[in-house]
Amino acid sequence: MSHDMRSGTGGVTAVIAGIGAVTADRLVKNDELARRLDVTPDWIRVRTGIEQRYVLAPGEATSDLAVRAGRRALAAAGDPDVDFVILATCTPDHTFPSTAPSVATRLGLGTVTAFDLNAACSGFVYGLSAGTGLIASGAFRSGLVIGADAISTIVDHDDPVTAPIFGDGAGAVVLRAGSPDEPGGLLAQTTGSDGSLLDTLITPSGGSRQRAAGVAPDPVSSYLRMEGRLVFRHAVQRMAQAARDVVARTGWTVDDVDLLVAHQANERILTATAGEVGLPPEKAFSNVDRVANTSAASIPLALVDALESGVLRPGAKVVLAGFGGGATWGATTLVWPDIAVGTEPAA
Amino acid sequence: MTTAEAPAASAVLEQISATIQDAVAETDAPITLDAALGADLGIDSMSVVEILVQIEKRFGFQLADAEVTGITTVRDILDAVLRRQ
Repeated sequence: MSHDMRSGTGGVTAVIAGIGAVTADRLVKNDELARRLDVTPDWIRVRTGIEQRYVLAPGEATSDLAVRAGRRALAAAGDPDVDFVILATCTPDHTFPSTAPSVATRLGLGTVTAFDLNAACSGFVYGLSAGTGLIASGAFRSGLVIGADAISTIVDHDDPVTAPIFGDGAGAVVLRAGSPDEPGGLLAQTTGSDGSLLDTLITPSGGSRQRAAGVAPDPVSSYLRMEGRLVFRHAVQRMAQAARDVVARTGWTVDDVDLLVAHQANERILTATAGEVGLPPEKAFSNVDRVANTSAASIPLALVDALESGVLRPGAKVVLAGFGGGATWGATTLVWPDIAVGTEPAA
Repeated sequence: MTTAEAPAASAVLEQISATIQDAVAETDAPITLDAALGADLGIDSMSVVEILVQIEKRFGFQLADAEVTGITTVRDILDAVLRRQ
């Protein structure tokens, strides 16, 4: 059963105080990828809605993206002190230790509480939920939630099914203690999981199950594996159900929703999810054509794109919904606050 | 399949064919019972799921995950529907 959280009116919730996002630097368009995969650029576009993606350059890592996104979000919030860093990622720099402490240190945040959270492509909504819980407990006053992934590091670049889908990026928000009555306050939230879907999205090697077997892994098993049909089916069902659930618990109707920002898996999942929620496709924001599926970074990257393109404005009633490996899913509602999109100081 | 079931099966098949045609208007290949959804009809995996969701709505049942992954031909869809009738 999913876990539902609702910030009561007059209670304490987390409020979004700043946002920032980055893609990796290296642009890979469909024609470059198509040559390698022996397909046409159109084949990729028609199947996924994706035209291009950004990937890490050799020598870079997820933390490099996370630091840049974190710096932008902090700048947007006026560089406040924060009490915790949650890094949502399924592609940490190392399997051990976690990546969040080094990100916090590189951001100059001192000795704050810092931990990784792995909910794959649901990582950002899980991070918001966990961050809200820390703040609502009263033990923390503010925090930084970063979604960062470099799926290009676990994808088989010769697999026409998975290689075109993913890109690398990071997005972050600063959370502070506040009221659900103020814009930016996270309202109803839900998170859930279904471990029976473990094998539908998995990188079999690299963890204790493979290592304890005492045999060298088959190279193919270190790549992300996807059972596309089940991912598509469950992603649409779970995100739509979670979105409808938080909308109802916020006291909104579906018609009240100005913008659905769902995990940017591919265009067809976004369209199908909007349909299941009961929203017209134009209310489901998409930037998947330009950045592909950036896993835990996808929702904050989409929010920043929506802000910069004028689609998302202060006062808009917004639903965020994610689905990812595990399987995991989650959703939250908020009224978009009047905040800046952070930029990085010139190097 | 018994003779008594045949008319029902052909009506079901008609509805399945119509659902497939709605989903993939561009297919020129004939929608026969043993047509493979991917290889013969050129339907990609997400379109297969979209078709199966329409089938579920049309006939009012939910396919199990194993059925969703196991269906490869038009006949497989027909069998899944007939199992519920």
